[in-house]
Amino acid sequence: MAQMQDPVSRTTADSAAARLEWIVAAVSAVIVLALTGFILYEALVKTGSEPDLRFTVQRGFAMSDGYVIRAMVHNDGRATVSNVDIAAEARQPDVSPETASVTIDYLPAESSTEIGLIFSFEVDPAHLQIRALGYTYP
Amino acid sequence: MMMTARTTARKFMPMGLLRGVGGALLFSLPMLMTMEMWELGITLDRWRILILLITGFPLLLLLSREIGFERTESWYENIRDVTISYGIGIATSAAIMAVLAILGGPSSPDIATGKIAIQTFPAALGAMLGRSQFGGEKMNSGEKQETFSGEMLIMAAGALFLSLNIAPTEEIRVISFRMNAWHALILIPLSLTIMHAFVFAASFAGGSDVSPETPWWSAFLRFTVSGYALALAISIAVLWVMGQIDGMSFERALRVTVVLGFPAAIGAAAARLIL
Repeated sequence: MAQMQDPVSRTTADSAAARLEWIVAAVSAVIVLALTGFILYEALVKTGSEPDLRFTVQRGFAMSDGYVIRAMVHNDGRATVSNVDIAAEARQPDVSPETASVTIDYLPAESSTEIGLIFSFEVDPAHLQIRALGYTYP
Repeated sequence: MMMTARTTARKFMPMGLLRGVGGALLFSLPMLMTMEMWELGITLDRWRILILLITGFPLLLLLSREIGFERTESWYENIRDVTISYGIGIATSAAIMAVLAILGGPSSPDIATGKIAIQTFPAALGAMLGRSQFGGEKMNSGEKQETFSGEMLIMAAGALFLSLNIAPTEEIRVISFRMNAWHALILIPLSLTIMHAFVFAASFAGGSDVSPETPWWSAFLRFTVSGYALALAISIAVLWVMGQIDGMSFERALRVTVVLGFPAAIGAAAARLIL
């Protein structure tokens, strides 16, 4: 297709194409520099290499067999941890306490994951205690 | 001159299909035999798979126009070729997974559909490249002028190939968790340097609008930096589609993107040499 163009139209097309190339190059350079600057900022400012785990209860719902408490595990720290064991204990009046547990494969730094804890009776979040039992450093 | 090539090409239609299957296998076999892809076929949001399939179609369409053995093909013919590639992708993925007992029993059709659907786009990409590139119909390739958008499309195909294969695995996240910010900061210029080495090698290949006489910074900015930004964009898109950055903070997601961007950048640069 290109060989058939006469020299005049070819140069006009070429300069338009060259402009596009430089625009794309400029936008790309900005993206790469911004990315580098972002990570550099993180490297210099955000130090510390320990996790910081926190739980928030979202809601509960009933299943055909069991009652689920949906919760979020947050890692507010700067270190990623793996194999996080989480246990929850539910205490209701007149019922013996029940525990539920779950293990999370990875909990990245400054990120959160949703979990579901299953009990055999309806649980009031006020009577629920969730805690992490242990983790490994990847 | 063009008509003879066209009629000759049409006679080899069954060969084209076979090459398509070969290309589909080459692209998708690593993913077909990866456990995380089977799990993603079951657990991934159906609309994410749909987004992958739908946005893949125009991409393959543009790629088909670029690397097809003739530039004179009409849009209709390109749509047909991409549809055939999707068909080859679905059929090949389904057949291989059935033989390897990955699909599961007949009692779970939606699981099987999910597994096939997520494999379709990479297999279709391979099918299209296989039909266009493998085999003898490259007699016209020397006459085709390389355009900038064409080069970017080819780089996108290369970046997609490697990032689709690597993104679903657990290892990509483990690597990003173990690396600290300084590792990532070294990986960026390393990716750019290796990419530029490929670009430099491609400038000797001929028919390229980058010649050895082009000033290095011109080629660097226009091809290497653009290609790297493209590889990063493709990486983060593929990571998102595969659900690998869900729940991560923006900084963490960028870290994983830089890690996946490294093989994606190599794939993009290598594709310019190979395709």
